[in-house]
Amino acid sequence: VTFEEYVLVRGPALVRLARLLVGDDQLADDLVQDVLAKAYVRWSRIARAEHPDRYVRRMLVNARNSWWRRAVNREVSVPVVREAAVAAADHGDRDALWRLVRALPERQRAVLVLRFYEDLDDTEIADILGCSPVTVRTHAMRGLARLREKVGDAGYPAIQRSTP
Amino acid sequence: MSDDFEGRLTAVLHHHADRPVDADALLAAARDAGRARRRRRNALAGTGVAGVTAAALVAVPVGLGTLGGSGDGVNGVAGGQLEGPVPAPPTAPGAAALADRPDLVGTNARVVRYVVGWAPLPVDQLEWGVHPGVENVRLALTAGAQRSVDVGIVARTDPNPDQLDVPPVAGVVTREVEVAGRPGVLMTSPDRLLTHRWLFWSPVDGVDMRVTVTVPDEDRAAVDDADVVRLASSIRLDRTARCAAPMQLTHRPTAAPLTSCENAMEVGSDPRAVASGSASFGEFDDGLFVSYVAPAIPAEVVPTDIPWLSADPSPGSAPVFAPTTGQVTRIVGEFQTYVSTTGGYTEADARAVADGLQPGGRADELASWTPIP
Repeated sequence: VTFEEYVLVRGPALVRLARLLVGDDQLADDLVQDVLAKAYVRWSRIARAEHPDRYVRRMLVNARNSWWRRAVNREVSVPVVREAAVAAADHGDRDALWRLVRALPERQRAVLVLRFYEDLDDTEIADILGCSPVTVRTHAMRGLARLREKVGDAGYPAIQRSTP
Repeated sequence: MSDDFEGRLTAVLHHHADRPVDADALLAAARDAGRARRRRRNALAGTGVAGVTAAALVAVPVGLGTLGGSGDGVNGVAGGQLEGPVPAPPTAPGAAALADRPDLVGTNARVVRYVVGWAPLPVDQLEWGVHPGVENVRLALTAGAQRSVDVGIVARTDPNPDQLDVPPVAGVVTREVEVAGRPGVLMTSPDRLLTHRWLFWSPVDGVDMRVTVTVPDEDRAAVDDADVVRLASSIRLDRTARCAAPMQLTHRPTAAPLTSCENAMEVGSDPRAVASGSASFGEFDDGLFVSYVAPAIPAEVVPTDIPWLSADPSPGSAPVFAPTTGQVTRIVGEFQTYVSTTGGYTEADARAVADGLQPGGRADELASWTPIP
């Protein structure tokens, strides 16, 4: 597969994945463009990988982590989690849950995105993240627990538990 | 609550991600950024070598001969009528060409069993290489004042059904064509920012070939369907190109065979870069990768603001720079070389290979390039 063919076919999916990883459309576009530019330079090697797409997604996730810290420096802090919970309580809709997802630590969030959006199994996620399937399950369990902590049975965030 | 909650989470993720993406714009931006990245890397390696490039421009056709105008090829391209001959890579003496042994396509990383004879625009860069099961040639062409047209040619005997041959672009126009007397299918997309053309045919029984041409909208008129067919028809199936490098690889991993090889020559407007290439030994996830670019980086011009390049503290190896941990670079003659490893191969393996690289040819004399062992 050529670089051009790959981008035309898989590029949109990469952008959508990036939107979930960074939470901002413009930043997602920039991140994917940056990753694809790196892939372009070494495409001849990537193209012979058994799963080129998995390799590029690994580049994307890893780039998100380092790039985010270096260029954006918008790591979510505890106050943001509380803010998200308050906002969630105000709206009680899917935007509220999305805010909570955005407030998750990066690895937990990446695992949940890859599992529930990309529909990958733990082995595939582990390959992309460069960790073991056990670690993937741990991140998933903790991420889901963290979300459920903020979401009541009715699906509304419980700000009484998250606000001191 | 679990299933319901996870279902709601899935819906939330799709709600916040599933909006349209302009794939053409993404490709154009990514390719421009990739080229800029490559230029920066080449510029870093090629300060002040305009004279070498000029020599390369002369050496390629003089030393090895252009292929486009001979007119005696398998595909019957008329001599003297080719307005854009493609520089000829070094031949692989004794190796069977595609016309004689189509069954060998993609089986030997040291041999490309065909060459391209003509291009519709001046060639800025020529690449040729072999990966398992696939032999490919790439051309970067200049339209107007910029290098903007990409041409990819692929030959293989066992098409992988998983290969993404044609992206699912809406509105693709398909028509039947003839390529050197063989039936082919030409597909053209009417995309807004880029025009894509794919030409499929079988030049001999048992081998499938594909030409892919991508042209930006501003240069749309520079290439048409007839150009793509003519380029495909110019492919010489009775010539070979060898995997080689302007250096000797005196130490290589004994347990890992050469699995792929890429070579590239800058032959056009970029006065800074002359040649580059790579050789891969072993598997993608368990192997050793050697690459080179000419000429080497003068230590005094290495900029300090490139994050992936920093001084290598190894004693007695100046000037040496380490892009990242686990990779080794060396100056070999006029080349900057990089050796990296994956899987069970270590940085010590990379250093052993790097230490064994010896000068063995000139970048501007393709005939002097040493075959990769």
